Amino acid sequence: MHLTLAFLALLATPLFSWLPVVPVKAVRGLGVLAASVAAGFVWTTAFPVLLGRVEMRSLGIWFVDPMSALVASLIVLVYLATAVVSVRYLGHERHERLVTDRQVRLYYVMMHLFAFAMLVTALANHLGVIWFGLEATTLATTCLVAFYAKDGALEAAWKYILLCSTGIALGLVGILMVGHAAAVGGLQHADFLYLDTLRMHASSLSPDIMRWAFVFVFVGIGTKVGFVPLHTWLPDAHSKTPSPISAMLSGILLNVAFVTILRFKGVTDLALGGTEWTEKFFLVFGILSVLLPGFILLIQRNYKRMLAYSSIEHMGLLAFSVGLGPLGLVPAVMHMVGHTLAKSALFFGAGEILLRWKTTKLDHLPAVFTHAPRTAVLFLLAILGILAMPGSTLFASEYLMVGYGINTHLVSTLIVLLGLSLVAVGMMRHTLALLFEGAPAATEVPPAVESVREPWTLTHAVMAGELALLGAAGVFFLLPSGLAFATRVAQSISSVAL
Amino acid sequence: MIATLAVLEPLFAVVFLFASVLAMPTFRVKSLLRLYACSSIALALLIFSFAVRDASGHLYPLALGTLFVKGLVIPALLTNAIRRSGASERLQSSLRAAPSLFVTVAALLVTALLIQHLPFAASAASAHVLYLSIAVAFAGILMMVLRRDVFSQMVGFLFIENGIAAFSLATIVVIPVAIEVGIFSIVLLAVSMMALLSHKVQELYGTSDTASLRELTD
Amino acid sequence: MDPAFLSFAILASLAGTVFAALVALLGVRAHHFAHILLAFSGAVGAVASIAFVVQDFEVLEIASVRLFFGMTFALDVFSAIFFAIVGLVSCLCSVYAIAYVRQSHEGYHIASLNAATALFVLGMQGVLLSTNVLGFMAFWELMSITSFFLVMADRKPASIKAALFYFVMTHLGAAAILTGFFVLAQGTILADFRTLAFSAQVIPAPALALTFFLFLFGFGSKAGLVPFHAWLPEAHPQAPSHISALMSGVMLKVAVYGFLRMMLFLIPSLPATFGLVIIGLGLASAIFGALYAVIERDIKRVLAFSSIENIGIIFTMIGVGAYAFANRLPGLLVVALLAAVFHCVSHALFKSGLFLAAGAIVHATGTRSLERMGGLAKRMPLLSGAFLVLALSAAALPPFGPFYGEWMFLQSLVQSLAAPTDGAVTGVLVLVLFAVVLASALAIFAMVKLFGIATLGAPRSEAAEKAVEPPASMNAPILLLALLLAWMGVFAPALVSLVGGKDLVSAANRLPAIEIVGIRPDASLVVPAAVFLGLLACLGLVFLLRRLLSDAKRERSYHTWNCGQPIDASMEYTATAFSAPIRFFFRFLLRTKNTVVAIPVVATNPWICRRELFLNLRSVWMDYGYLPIARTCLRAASIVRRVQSGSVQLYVAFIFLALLVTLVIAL
Repeated sequence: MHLTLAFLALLATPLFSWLPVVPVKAVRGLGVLAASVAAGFVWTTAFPVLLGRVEMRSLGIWFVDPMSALVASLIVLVYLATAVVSVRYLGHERHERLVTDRQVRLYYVMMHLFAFAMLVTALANHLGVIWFGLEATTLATTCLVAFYAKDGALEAAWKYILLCSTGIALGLVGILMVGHAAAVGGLQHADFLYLDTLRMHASSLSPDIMRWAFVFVFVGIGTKVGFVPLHTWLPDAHSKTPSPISAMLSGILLNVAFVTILRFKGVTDLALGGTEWTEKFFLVFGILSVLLPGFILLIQRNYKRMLAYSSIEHMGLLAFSVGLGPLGLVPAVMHMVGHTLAKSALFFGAGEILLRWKTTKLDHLPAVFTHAPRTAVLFLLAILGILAMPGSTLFASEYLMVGYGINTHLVSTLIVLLGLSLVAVGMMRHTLALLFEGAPAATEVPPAVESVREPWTLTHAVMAGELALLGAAGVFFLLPSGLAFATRVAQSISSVAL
Repeated sequence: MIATLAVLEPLFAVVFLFASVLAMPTFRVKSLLRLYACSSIALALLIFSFAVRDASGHLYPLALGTLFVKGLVIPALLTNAIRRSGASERLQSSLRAAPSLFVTVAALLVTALLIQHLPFAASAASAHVLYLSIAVAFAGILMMVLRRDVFSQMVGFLFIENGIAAFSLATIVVIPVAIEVGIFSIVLLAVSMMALLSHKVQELYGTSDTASLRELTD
Repeated sequence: MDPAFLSFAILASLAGTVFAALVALLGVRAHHFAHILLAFSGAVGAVASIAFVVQDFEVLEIASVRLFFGMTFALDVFSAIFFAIVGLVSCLCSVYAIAYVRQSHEGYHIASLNAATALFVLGMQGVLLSTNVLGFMAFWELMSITSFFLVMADRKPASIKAALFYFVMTHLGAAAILTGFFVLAQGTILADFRTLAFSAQVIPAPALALTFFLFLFGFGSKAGLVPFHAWLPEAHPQAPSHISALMSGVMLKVAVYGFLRMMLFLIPSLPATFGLVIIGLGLASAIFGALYAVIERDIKRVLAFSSIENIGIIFTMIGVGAYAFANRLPGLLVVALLAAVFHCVSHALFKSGLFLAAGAIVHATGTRSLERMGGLAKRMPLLSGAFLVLALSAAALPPFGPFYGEWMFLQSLVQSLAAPTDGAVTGVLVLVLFAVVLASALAIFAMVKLFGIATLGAPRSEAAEKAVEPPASMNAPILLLALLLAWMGVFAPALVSLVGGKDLVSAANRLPAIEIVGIRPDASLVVPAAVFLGLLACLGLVFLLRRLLSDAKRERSYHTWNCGQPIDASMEYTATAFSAPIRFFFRFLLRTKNTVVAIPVVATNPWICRRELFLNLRSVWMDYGYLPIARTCLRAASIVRRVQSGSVQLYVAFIFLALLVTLVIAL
């Protein structure tokens, strides 16, 4: 019960941000404060479960097990980072009179509501609440996608809300089918849609109905995750949003939706008595989601869209890993952590570049390294991190994934490796073009500003912090204790013993 | 009362279905919204009659909510939004009236064939309501795909939602009232946001045709 | 020496490299100190590993990192030899780099360049010391990434393009190696080499074939084996010269080390055809490498192609070894492997020396093109002398080291022809013999051209006229390498028996020792000391005779007789002209395109024209292999891009189609 109260208290922040009484300057600081409070709250509740000291707790409509604890921790981490970066980002934009006070308030209100909705989805026990949370994230972020009201942002917002709402509606159909299976299976009315009861009584759920339900849930919520061919809204939405929010979208929202599908997978596997049937979905959609971005990234000349396609590819990798078998959940957990850290750092860096040169097209940018070396170096390190260089968490997770995959599904793993190579080539090519090759039609900054050394901003600090975490996690996951940690988290969501 | 409702039930079902089907060849915004309101009210009445027949208390709030939110508030909201944005009354579509209707009827037939493959056919509250829900959702999908302007796409989405509501009726799922309220408010919020966006689209591009929303390729 | 002391020394070398990387990040001021540190750690590593080889230890355990699933770093004879190469060459390159980077500092960001260099050396050292897959791959990737950044160190568009090409090949190669390891491991994810050796004995044939081809591609692409070599001539010239030396001299050897180690596990179970595959690719690399080295005019590209040629010879030797073992000629296997390792060592020495010298020459003359050099022998005598020794070694001529390695190999081939085997084997061995000789001949031609055009004659450009001897810290490493090669030439049998007695094969894969029957490596050599002394004697004899018999009391120095015409540099042999006969002879392989453009001087008179000849030296592999693949990928990308058409209706349709298809297929 106290969780519900805590959530309601969290809602106070958007309210405060909106009231004209609170001055606009304070709104930004308030954002950081609220994020810190949320972080503290989640970490006190979640960490004991995460570290295994406390067994999972089921508190009515809330549900804290190691996986949801991990996801919630990641959410508040990104939330905190975004709040800090937004101080710099919006401060700069307001200074240059690109946004009005009203827009700043709107931004913060929506950001808080967004984080709130994600936390609700991650920690919920009732399927209806999960649905509510997902749809709420869609709505909160639509405002943010359409924030700039120019240059295709409206188009992106329209496609985003339409496609995601349709997808989530399909998810609702799936949820209703699960409820129906529960009803047919003889569960009590009140327990129809509670996850923990569904897991306990999964054997009484009819396999046929559960199969249909899983398909609808997978395709429906898969739209939100960004599986190919349901991904079409993602590059538009993630590139038109202000960059700190893109970091939240790419970094953690996709993961939240993915974990939701994993929870359904758990119930379905228990009902069907085996994991092979559901794994086929993850395998097929995962391979598609790695191949398509691989090709498109070869010719992608917009760096924010490049990052968005990279997110699609990583979600595909997560799905592929899950599709390999029950043990595949372990590298998937590691990959989730690594991707969140690296992708949010990348988007923060992209935001810095965008602030300075006001364009996301590579063809209009000068060589970033000569004009903004700190941003360039941090961006390059983050790109190396996301391309799974040794030292990054993604190296550990991709190593385990490939190792596991070669033994179970050789051909699929080879195809995925080819896709990964394509992605690496494409991203490196365009990153080098961004950082080191200036375009002839570059929008130059006047020479007077040039001679000043690039200042060390909040964004750089946040990026450096995230990169440090990425490296630390990379080392951690290669230790036996790290592997055990990942296994424990994966075990909580898996239906079979690992 | 129960007897009257039992007699009227097929009527509600038919109105529900036909309103959705007739929406397909309708190319005027106001008529479209009226048909939607009609369909929602029919759905509400259908839910009400189920509630009375089966004496399931949880369906009353659902019926009330559908009547209020989907039958009254949303059409009013949308009509208001359209009037304020000054959009053209005439809607665009890829197919003309007759082919649209033809396609919709074909969809209905396909749904009828499909129903037999579903594993719910036996366990559903009523096979007819199951058919209705899928048919209406299908019609909504067709509207989203075949129409070319933003308002019809919105209305298509709303029809899908109606279909899903009918589906929840068919699958006898009980949702706590608080969460139902949440779901309704989310739907309302979604629709108002879509309306706001289409208003902005109309402002920025001068037309509600989605051909202007094709710049983001690659 | 105590094994504990040796392992401490190796650890110190590793630590020194890490420390050098950290120090280098401090900035330009730390440049000297970082390089001295790196040189020191390289020297310590080299000395320690040579001591290890001399002292006949089995395995030296350096460190065991319990944390990472019991990852052990260990040194055995095989990796010790390569570790010595790494240490020695990196030491000399660091000394060279002190002055070299200072000279050309405008283009480079010195701090990151030095840090990347140190990390590059660390990666190579780590690869050699790793005994499990995780460590190997981690250090391999470190090595690849740092070398990628080093290639584009001057951030010019040409360098970035070359670096990107290198990145593609190295990424694909690393993926192939990783896959190969996992297929070989047959189920163990965190395997170490011992597990791999055991599972190589029981692996089923299709998996064996797959593993073989994956390793061939993975290690071969890094080593520069045709047809995976195309990145090498682009990337090696663009890097700073000491990095080119490290890459050509050492990184290629690390790739050969990886391939050799895997082959040592696989050879016992490998059928003969796979040995033929290696031989085929090796011979192709040797011949194509030598050919392109002959016709190239950029000094660093010539050296890059020469590297490809030498790697081809090394792979041929490995292939002959594998083929021989499968055809029951185990003695030939041992000799071939010995020859391969010997050639690795000597190539590391002379190629790094050549690249360092080329770096000095390029800086002095301001150009990489051979057509603008010349006359350097008089202006840079010390460097030219060392360059001569290095070029002669590269051409595999006595009395220098590489000659004896190749001689040993060829002699053992001839000796195996006498052994009773079937006709096909004899045919293959004869073919190998002739092809290697052909490649060596072409290599001699290339080196003569390189040395002659670059250093002899009159300067062909102003910059060459003004060339001065490079500073001592740059000259010293080159001279030292030349001396080492001469020393190797004299003491070759001692070196070979030093290693040969250890029986590389069994040391590497812990299998029981193979009897060397019929062929004895050290006894088959021509006594090099005799050759050396013989050469000296001849020179001395000529000198004496001239002194005694000729009439010349006094030399008169006069300019060349010129028939009344002024002589200038444009009358000299150019590199293009020098290579013309070879170009002509091999034109079916090279497919050079000559275009003559004739433009009339005056529009009304078409008979008096200005003619320009464009000689287009295209790489066959690029035109028919790489570029079509790249074009197909880009075309596929444009087709796939149409998915993102911009139409919402299409997107919605995708969702429902996906749903429909999934429903139909899954249910």
